[in-house]
Amino acid sequence: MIWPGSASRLAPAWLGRVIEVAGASVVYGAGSERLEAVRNASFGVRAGEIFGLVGESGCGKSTLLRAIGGLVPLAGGSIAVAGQAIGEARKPRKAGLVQMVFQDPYGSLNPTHTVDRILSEPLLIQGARSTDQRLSKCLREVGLGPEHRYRYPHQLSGGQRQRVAIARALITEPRVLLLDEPTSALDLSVQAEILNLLKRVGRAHELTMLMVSHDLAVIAHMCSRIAVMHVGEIVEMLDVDSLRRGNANHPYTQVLLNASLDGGRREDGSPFRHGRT
Amino acid sequence: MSALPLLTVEDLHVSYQGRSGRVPALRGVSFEVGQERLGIVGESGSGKSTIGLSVLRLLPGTASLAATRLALRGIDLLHATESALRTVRGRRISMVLQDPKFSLNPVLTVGQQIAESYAVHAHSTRHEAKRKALEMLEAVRIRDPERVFGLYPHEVSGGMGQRVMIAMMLIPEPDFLIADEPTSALDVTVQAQLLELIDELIRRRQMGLILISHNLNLVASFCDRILVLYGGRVMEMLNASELASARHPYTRGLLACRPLIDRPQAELPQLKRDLAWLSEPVGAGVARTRD
Repeated sequence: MIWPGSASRLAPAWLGRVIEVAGASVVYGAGSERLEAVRNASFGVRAGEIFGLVGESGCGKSTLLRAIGGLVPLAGGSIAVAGQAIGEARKPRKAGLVQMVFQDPYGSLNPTHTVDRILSEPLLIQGARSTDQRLSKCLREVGLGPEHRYRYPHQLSGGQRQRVAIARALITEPRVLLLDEPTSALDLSVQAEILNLLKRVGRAHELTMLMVSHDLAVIAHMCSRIAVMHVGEIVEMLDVDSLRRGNANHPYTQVLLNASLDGGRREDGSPFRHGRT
Repeated sequence: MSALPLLTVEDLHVSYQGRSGRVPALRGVSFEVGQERLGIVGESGSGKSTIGLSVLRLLPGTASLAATRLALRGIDLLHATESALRTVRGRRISMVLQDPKFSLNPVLTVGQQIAESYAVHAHSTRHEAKRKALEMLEAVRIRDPERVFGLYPHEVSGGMGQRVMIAMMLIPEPDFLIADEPTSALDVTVQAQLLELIDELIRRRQMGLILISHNLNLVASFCDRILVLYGGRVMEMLNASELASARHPYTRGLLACRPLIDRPQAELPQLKRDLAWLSEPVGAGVARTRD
């Protein structure tokens, strides 16, 4: 697939890609129930980049993210993360290089485990030692204190739970973070804190991130490049400057821009709404 | 605001029984709503949903409510009996909740549920109720009402489910609609359509509306006035058109922590909260910044 205007400018950066998706397809069901959730998706994410995937529910963006995380099998094409093809058997240590943060901090933490156990378990699975020092350092890094360490998820606020989810992802020292709508269940004020945290840990650990969101303002704030998905296909790739200027080629991207009533704003204080009167 | 308020709330206090004592949810909230669209914004835990439940007197048993006045037109909601309240709920005031997945009955078809809502309030025959339900499905712009009437909630999309909810809530022709995060579970492209639909219906029926949301942009572009709530207190009440120039430090903080679409920012400003706001009279925070 060719993305108008982007190929030449981005060409040098194709080198050193940490995530490499080539013609990936994901199919759910079979026969009359067969649904091609992702069709022939190709893109690359270079080291240290934050890449955005946008589109409406059911467009396949979360499925693609899950495929990159190795959580759903590919029906065609290939995906490689940090040089290793997804789908091959991976050693636990290798699997730890890719970590995921989910949308709903209420649903993604085991309610019967303390924060301490939630953070220790990934290490134990990898055969690494869960040391006291490592855990407290990780908690400190996400802005939680020692007082949170033996709490259960229900004893934490939504923002604190998402911090625990980020700590759980960081503790295996990954190279890639996959973020599935990490702030859409949170208040705007908490969203700001979590986005700042993600940017900070991304820089500190030189993480490559892939972020799924339906909120274009959040995507513009976090990402340098964006792929727009529509009914299973990537219909457009654009860089953040084009998004900021509202320069979209594909009509569907324009629809997304026009319809956006989300939490963004413009510098002059006017709400972020393109087009609609 | 029109001269005669539809809904009057005066000095509303609500607290919930917690494990270690009573937890205040609303601390003296007062406002009036006429034939207009009032937006209530605030963060989780600010008490915005409690306002909706208080007006409908649907608070759980662990809550206690006190107010000097709570009235819809002539009806005193504060001292009304349970049976009087049943004639108010649905018939005079309706409520649309966030997620149709959880607020529709999964074992009845959506048509049956809309028809039931009409039959209960209008004491009509089943045949009449079905006809009305089909009309209402058409009014919420569902293309094939006959087919959708027979679908179960799990067979409809989130956007369609919310249209069904709106149909169900508007079929008894209430005077007032409370919409609690009606589009938060939906896609941005569907959000705008649904809000336009709600707007058209409440205008045509000359209803009042409270739109509860955490989304400042949505409220600013859809409502006439905005009430900003923090910790169960009204921080300020302003015209939607003036939101960008809001003066209360809390509102300003909320506005500032949204990411900018047209310019890169290294860090997002974080919201600073001041517990002193909870004991100040309404408007004090605004007045202070004016000096």
